[in-house]
Amino acid sequence: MASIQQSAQRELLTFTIGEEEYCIDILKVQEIRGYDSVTRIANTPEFIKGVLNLRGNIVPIIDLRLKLGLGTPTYNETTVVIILNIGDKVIGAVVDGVSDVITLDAAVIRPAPEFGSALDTKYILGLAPHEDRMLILVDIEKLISGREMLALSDAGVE
Amino acid sequence: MSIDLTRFYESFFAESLESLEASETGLLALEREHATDERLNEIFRGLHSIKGAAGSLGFTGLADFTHHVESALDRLRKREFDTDKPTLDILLSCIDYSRALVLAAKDGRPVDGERGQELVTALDRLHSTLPANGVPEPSSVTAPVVTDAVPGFRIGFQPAPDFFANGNDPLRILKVLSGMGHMRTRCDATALAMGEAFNAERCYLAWDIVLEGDASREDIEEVFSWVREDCALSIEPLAASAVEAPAVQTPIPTSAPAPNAPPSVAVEGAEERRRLDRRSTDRRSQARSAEAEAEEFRQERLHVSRDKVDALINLVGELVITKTMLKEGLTSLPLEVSQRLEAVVQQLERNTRDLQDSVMAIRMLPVSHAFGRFGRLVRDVGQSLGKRVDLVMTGEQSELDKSVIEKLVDPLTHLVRNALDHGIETPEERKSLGKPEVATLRLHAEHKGGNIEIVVSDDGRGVNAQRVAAKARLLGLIGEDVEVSLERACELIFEPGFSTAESVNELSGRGVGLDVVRRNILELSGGIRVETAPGQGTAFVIRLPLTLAIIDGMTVLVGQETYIVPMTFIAECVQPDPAAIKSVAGRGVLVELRGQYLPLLKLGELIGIEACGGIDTGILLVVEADGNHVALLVDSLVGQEQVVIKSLESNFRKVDYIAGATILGQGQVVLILDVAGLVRSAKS
Repeated sequence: MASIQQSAQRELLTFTIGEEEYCIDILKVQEIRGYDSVTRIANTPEFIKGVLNLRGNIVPIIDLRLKLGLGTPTYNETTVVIILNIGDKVIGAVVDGVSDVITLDAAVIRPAPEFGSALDTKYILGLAPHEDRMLILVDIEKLISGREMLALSDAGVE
Repeated sequence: MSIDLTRFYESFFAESLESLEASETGLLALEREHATDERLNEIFRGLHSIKGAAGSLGFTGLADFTHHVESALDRLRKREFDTDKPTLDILLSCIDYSRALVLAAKDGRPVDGERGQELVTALDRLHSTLPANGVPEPSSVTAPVVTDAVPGFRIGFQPAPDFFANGNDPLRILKVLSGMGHMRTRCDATALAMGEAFNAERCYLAWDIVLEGDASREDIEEVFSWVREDCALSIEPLAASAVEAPAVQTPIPTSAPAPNAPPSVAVEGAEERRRLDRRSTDRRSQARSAEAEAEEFRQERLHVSRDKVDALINLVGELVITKTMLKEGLTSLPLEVSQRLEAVVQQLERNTRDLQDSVMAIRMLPVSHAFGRFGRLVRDVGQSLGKRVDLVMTGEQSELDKSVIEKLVDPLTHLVRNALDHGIETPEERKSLGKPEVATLRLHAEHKGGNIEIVVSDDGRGVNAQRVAAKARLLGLIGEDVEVSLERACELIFEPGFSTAESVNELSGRGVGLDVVRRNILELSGGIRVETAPGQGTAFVIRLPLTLAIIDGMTVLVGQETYIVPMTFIAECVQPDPAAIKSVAGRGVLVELRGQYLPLLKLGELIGIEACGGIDTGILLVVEADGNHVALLVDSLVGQEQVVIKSLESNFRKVDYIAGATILGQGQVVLILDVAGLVRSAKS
């Protein structure tokens, strides 16, 4: 039983955007760094902030606040970039702040309710109560791959 | 203990294909020039190394077949048969089949064993057409039949054992002789002592030499005048000599009468036995030297996977950036400290540059890697079209980045086929035009600055403006009554779907035209143009950067943003004259430059920067791609520098107008403009 319990547990990185708390699978996270100025790329959607030099790699940076439509971001000392490994790509995601690494029991994760057409929930894996807060468990791959990030997963679609 | 051999497979396949290519090139060269020992050894070496490696890696089929080819080549090396066309055809087919075997082994496919058997039989027949066989086939030309018409001498040269001791060198004599005409030699090593009996200071060898040419007996005697006392020498006119390839006679004085006798079966039989004896001793020494040669050949090269080299190049790029950062940081230090460090940083700068050059050189290969295959292509296609074409390659030692070479092969193949198909006339047509019947197809490569220029030219009929115009009208590319100048015609042939071929054939009419060639070249940040003179020929001139990893770029500013424009696209930079700006229908904007109207593209507008200067404060970059010129407005030029190209696509995707990115001194990412894309957008 113990082993099943073990495998049903997930280690997650939690971060905040505004008032909301999100969490993602820690295995996708390569590193966390402060927000630096990026090189803007013309003719790309607003949430793609630009590209960054990460030890010689050109890494695109996405603002999750813009991507999720949570208002205009302000960048300050606490703004962080989570560097993610998605497939064979390295991508940075800007969030307001990183809070914690937590272990969640899979059993406590509740499926996200249907919001109807008001909210696209396809990238939300579930909701989980944690120390009287609610965490939104995000499928980060689904969230940031899409038409704008074409080459990420659905390269064939245009 | 078993060793996993599979890890050697990949380099074996790559090496084998390379060796085959080298042998093929050598064989093709034999069509045009006399077979030198060096050439024959080169051909032999390729097959020999494959045989050895294939055997040890367990590719028995390949090892067996190449063994047959190798032994045929070995006999060729000993001049047991001649390199006439049928022979070369067989040998070339053997190369093809070996290649098929290598590829089949690579993909784990079965092979056509029958074909192999046919070729082996053909190879053996090469052997048996020897006069020694007693039944020379009338059609065969394998033995060089010497007729009265050929002037020359047969020379028997047997140095005395103490030849070297007297300060003489037989090699020097042979070299002098080889300069006097077409020379074939056979070395007699039967007297060679083996093992302990061998004395390096004694001469054991003797030579039988056939020298064809105008050299007189006196000339030849002159060559030997210094060593007359130290050797046994016989000089006979060729007409009186034997009709067979030179056979060694030992000792020379007693052999003198033999060549005069017409070959009889009995004599030949005896001769054959002797030859076999001799061959067994010969072969031991020859095989050893071939192995040594092959070994030497292998040790000179190193097969490294591309990933490793790419990683190295990346690291060097990082180092260059770090060095620049260090240099910039220096200025913020107190003077006394910075002065001390300056010399060190300069040293670092030099070393970094050298390192960068050396690392880039690893990826550089001579263009002959791309040119190499055309010998065969021109021969085969020329034959099938009934056209006689001489392929001349020059500058093929010019070096170019391997990845560029790989991407160059298709466009070049297309141009060569195009020339064979459309450019070059049939021999009859050429004759009636007073041109030499054999056409010349030239492949030329030359370094020009940071670029390489590759020219594919023919002396065929040239671009026919009328025919191009007719075709263009048919395709609706131009209006019915538009006159077409030669320059315009040269532009039109690059239009998609354009082909003047009257009949669609497997060669050129494959639905792809010169537009594909041009696109491929543009993808390599290069350009292509045509030079033609009706009736005299056509030349396609391709200009390419030497490498795709590092480019020369012009750093430009637009608003607060920095961009890099590859230098290869920049034709000139001009200060715009506001009076020269014209608008068309209130929308399209043109710039007049020396009487020409160029479309004006404002970079700031294209990439959505509002805070950028206007036409009165900016500067115009005249860029060229696809043969079209466009004026690109930027705010200012910052400078020119070499940048390491990094792909945006590895972590992101292709973005309009952006070709890639690079990292500048301060570590910031700067985007490289896709000039070809910009120019295309200006057109549409």
